[in-house]
Amino acid sequence: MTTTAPPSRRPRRSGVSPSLRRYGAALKSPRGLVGIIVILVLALLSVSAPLLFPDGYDVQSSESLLAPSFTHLFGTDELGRDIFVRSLYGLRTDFSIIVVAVPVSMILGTILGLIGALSRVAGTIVQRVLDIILGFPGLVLGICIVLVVGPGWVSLVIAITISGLPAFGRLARAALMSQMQREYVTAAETLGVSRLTVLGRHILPNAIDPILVQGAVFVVQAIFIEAALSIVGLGIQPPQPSLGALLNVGTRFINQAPTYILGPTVLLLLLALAFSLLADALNETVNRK
Amino acid sequence: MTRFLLRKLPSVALVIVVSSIIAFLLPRLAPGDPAAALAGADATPEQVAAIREQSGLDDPLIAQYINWITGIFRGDFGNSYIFQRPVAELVLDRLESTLELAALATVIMIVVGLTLGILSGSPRAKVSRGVLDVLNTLLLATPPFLTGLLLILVFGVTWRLLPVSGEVGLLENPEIGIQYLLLPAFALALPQAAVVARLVQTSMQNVRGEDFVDLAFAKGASPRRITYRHVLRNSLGTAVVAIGLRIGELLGGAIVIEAIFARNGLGQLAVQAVQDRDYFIIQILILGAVILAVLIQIITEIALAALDPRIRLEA
Amino acid sequence: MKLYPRSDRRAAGILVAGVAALTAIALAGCTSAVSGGAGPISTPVRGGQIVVAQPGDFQPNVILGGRTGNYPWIGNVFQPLTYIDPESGTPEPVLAKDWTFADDGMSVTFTLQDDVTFHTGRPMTADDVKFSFMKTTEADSGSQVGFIAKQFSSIDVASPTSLTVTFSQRLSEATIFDFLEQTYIVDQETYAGLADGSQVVGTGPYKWGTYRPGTSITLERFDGYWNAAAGGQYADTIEIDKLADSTAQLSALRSNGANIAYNLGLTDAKGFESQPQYTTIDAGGTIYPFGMDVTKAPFDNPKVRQAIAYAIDRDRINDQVFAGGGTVTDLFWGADAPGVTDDQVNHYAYDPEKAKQLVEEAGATGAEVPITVVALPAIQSEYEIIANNLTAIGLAPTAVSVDETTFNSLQNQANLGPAFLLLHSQVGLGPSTLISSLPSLRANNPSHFDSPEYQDLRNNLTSAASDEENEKALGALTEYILEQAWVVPIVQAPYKVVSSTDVQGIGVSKRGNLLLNDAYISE
Repeated sequence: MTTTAPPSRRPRRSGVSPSLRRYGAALKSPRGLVGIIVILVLALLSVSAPLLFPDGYDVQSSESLLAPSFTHLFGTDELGRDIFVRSLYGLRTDFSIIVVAVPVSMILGTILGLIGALSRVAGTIVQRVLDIILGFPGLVLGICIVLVVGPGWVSLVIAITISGLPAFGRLARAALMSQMQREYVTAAETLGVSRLTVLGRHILPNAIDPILVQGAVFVVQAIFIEAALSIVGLGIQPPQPSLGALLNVGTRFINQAPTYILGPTVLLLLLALAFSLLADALNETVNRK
Repeated sequence: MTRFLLRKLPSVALVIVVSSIIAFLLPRLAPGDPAAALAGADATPEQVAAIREQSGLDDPLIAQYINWITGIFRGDFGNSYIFQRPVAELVLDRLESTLELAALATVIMIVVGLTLGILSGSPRAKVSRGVLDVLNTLLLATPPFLTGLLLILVFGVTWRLLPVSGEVGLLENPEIGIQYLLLPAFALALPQAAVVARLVQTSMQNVRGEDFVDLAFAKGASPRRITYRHVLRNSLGTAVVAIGLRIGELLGGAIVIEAIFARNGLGQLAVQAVQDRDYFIIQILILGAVILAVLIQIITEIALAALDPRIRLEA
Repeated sequence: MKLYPRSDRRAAGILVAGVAALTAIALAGCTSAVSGGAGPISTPVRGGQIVVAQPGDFQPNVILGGRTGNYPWIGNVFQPLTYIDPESGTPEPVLAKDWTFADDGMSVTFTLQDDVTFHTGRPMTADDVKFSFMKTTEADSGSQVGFIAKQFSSIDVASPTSLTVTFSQRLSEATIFDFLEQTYIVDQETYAGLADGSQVVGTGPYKWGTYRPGTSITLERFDGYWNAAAGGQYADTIEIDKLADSTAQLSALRSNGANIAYNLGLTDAKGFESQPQYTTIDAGGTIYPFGMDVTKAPFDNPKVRQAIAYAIDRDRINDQVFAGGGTVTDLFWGADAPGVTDDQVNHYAYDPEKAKQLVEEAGATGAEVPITVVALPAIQSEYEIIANNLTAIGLAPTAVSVDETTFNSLQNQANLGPAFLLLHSQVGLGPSTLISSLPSLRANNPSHFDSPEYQDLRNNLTSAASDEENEKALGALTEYILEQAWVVPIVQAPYKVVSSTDVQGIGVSKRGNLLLNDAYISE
């Protein structure tokens, strides 16, 4: 068994921050390693899609619903387009949603959760609002947002961001509550250190671990929301592909071309799995401290 | 406990009032209205206007909201614009389908979740442990609709063992009904089962570290006895709470599963109501879901306190 | 670290077995929900239940308007005065025994069948017919043919079985029969009960039974049916299930959960064509046109509109979007309509070169073309092909996606934007009716197209006094619509009615309403 180094107690200023180092350790665990490699490979594929297939995702032909072959790895769709190419571009769409929606939701949620440090009343109100969002039937909230904003990338990002807020808000608040009772916070206050400084210096760093783990978990949920909205026809609009939209259309042809959804399903599964593994690994290292 | 509930009351009331307002406003912000859905695409502007006037859609928003709320206190949840029927009747009609799905999914979730959890929480060889781990992560990462699609591909298209969509009520024909229910219930339950399994596993590993387990081991109790008599029994509290929480999630997940398997349940009703702007149905379903979530939260807090005297109920 | 011997697996095995047993209960049962099977063809059998699976919404509140969700059941509960025979195109008597048009084309007199009773037991009279006709003129009836009744200056009831309708202007016989085809005779005493489906009373062979809104309707044989002596009414009950999803319909049909799948997805329907134990019938259908707002550039130029008509690859759309089951046409009416030439049907054969040239001539190369697309699978796929076609001729199409209700709302207000993809479920109506009932062609159309010439051509058609005049008027109007091209039909796709061969004797009206009086389950 490898021995785990005791968490470093050195002052912050010298070199890499200890928390970053811990996250690095997470990536060395087998789960973390597999997770991050898969994510990197998928990201690379999606970034290089326009280079690999410069003709784009909408090259139609009369050869519809072909089975997978060497020319068309995943077969062709109902309009004779290569499903492999569309899947890669779809992956790209999903990444573009994740990259925007997840961090935004994370930051907004954390801010909302920490508001309680500034005003008790505001904190309670925010928590109740987050309760409401949490209580909303997920897909219905998503559909309503899409209808108000109009279907497409923007409304997907908004829907995903909002649905992530409660979890991040609660985690931040939990960390806040546990730290507020510590002596050092009281001490700092008596010394006249401002609330905001305490918040930024001490409470936030303590909240960041669970929030990051939740971030990785939330990516999986974000993918799920994208696909779920596509299933009711309100996700990314054609001809642009997304993994969810491909699954949605593919399901309609499940009796004529069962292989249609195979490729996109595998990609979606890989993506979700990789982020799950990463979340697991982060969770383990974070809890080990 | 009464004090706890009393202190909770104002914030619960606030949550309910605010969600009723959101539930009322949100669907109305979307373009189009039930008159357009009802009249169809080929209708003339006059036909739509006639329907609007007839259904009271031209009344001021505040009046419509107050009408709705006062109606609820009289037990009148409003009439569906599309079906022209009382909303309560429509909701009750779809309840059976969703309850059947959620009930079977709960059973599967408990059985699969506990099995997986106990298996991975018990000491075993590295290989089987690895396999269990991978299986669990896989289930955890796969969203219900994907599990659904995979199940459809395997059991519905490749082998044609089970019907992939539609439904027959269990009360109507149990033998056929269960066949329609199996795939969606599994799809819904498996990811949640993985969560339960994970919690049971962690909790069992923690309990195993306690002194009384060492004692039992020293006394020469068989591993099986230790696992089931000592470790499992003391881990069940977590499991019960986890399962309670998951049931709420199951109901939420049912929406997508119903869409994939074409079941006429509450989820489908909700999705269709939003698309048709059938306001009263959306409103009551959203409000119901929020109240359910609040209830589950309170019950969980009480249950946790009951299980662990160290936790005190605070508002 | 502590090491324990491997634990006993048996107990866990029991839990696993629990799940397996649950599965086994269902799989090992004697009835399976997944099994196909064909029955031999035999003579009509009385009894049993016919189950129809269909995707539309039931709308008992819109009996007088044509609604796809009502098509599978409405013709069994309600009856019109006449049905047009889908084969021959001639009107056949139903509730009307006989009719006489005045020589000047300004009135018609109907003689009704004797002894017709509603499901309530009340005899139907000419007053009920008058009531039904008048109702179609009210906006909330939803009738697409109400504009015809608005041209009735008076309806005179001479006796319980006779009435005369007088027109304010000359109306062709075809127009009247289109009106009758869609106007079911309703019971004035229970008309209010239609709104919530609590009382749905007609004169047909089956009466309204259990109704679960949005889920199912059960129809029961009506014992007091006026025409019972003519045979039929074989099934005891008819159940109509709503299955929103084509895959669900398909599995219902395969598993014998339904005998008939009405309006099955065209791709799924095609899969059944090669299977001998299923029969496919085409019924009614939907017209899919591409519309342009002639007040907005670049569509204010007829050349651009014509270019678009040439640019669209209709055959590929039919093959890939409608599984080859539709009819490729440039017209809103059938190719067999009198006065229409073959050249008109294929006026805009796919010709991207010519289209590109027209766009260049109009100086519209590179123009942005936002197309309003409703989030329905067929329309979205259709858009994808059209977008490809338009890009090929030098235009820059983009999709403006909206959900169905928003789309309805925009279409009602004739506010769909510069270009849009439409769908009209009105196949089966005649040209003289379609020019007023189709939003694409009616006076207040979303293309904002109007001209004195168009008005004249329309009037010529609606008031045509003879077959000859009718032919001439339709030919001229067709030519004009093709030339102006503010709206370009792409495909007409029928509803596919797929039935297992256990069910025989299924009838379909011209509009696509399912008629199950003569249907029976052969054992």
